[in-house]
Amino acid sequence: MTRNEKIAWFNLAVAAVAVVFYIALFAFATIWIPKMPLGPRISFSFAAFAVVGICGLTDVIFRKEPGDERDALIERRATFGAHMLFWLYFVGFAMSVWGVHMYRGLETVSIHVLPLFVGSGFVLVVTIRSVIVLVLYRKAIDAGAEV
Amino acid sequence: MANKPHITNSIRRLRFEHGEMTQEDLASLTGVTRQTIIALEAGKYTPSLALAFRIANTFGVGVEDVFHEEGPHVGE
Repeated sequence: MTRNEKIAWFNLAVAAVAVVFYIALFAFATIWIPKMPLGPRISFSFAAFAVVGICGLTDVIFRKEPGDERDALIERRATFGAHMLFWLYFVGFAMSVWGVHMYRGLETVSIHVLPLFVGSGFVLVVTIRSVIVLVLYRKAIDAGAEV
Repeated sequence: MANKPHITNSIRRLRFEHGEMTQEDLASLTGVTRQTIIALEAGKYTPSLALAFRIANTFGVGVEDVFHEEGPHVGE
């Protein structure tokens, strides 16, 4: 397994932990602080996304190995794909918020929605990038590795 | 618009003709990972010109003896 694949698996695990942590915090707030309104509950649970910051430590955790041009190409494709999907998510989220606010006749967006938007977007980028890296490496292995 | 040409190669055959060289051996001789050699042999990756020359030099042949273009040529 290459260093890129190890980092991708690590980042996927971190993203999964962040999502599980978010759901756990949201459930905790819903069950144990029942008087807390939905907005603050969303903001409270946002703390879970701090876990994704661990992804920035991959250069320290995983020993540096010399890569080659294909590794660089896969990284570039994965980053491009992840950011392209993030942009779709960004536009989709923004348009959904706008649509809901138009429907309800509201002018301002709740401050509780914005952190969720940014946090979930970052988790999405980390996840999609990792998945693309793993798929691109997997394709070649399935095609004909010698044992 | 011209169709994208498909690049095939004879790396696997050349490896076996050169003392049954392993993918790992070729990878270390050309400065890439074994996975890249696997991808090349499977036709899943088209190398840069520099890597193509390194592979050809490793086998002591020309680039055109390793890589072949299939399909329509640009401009035809």
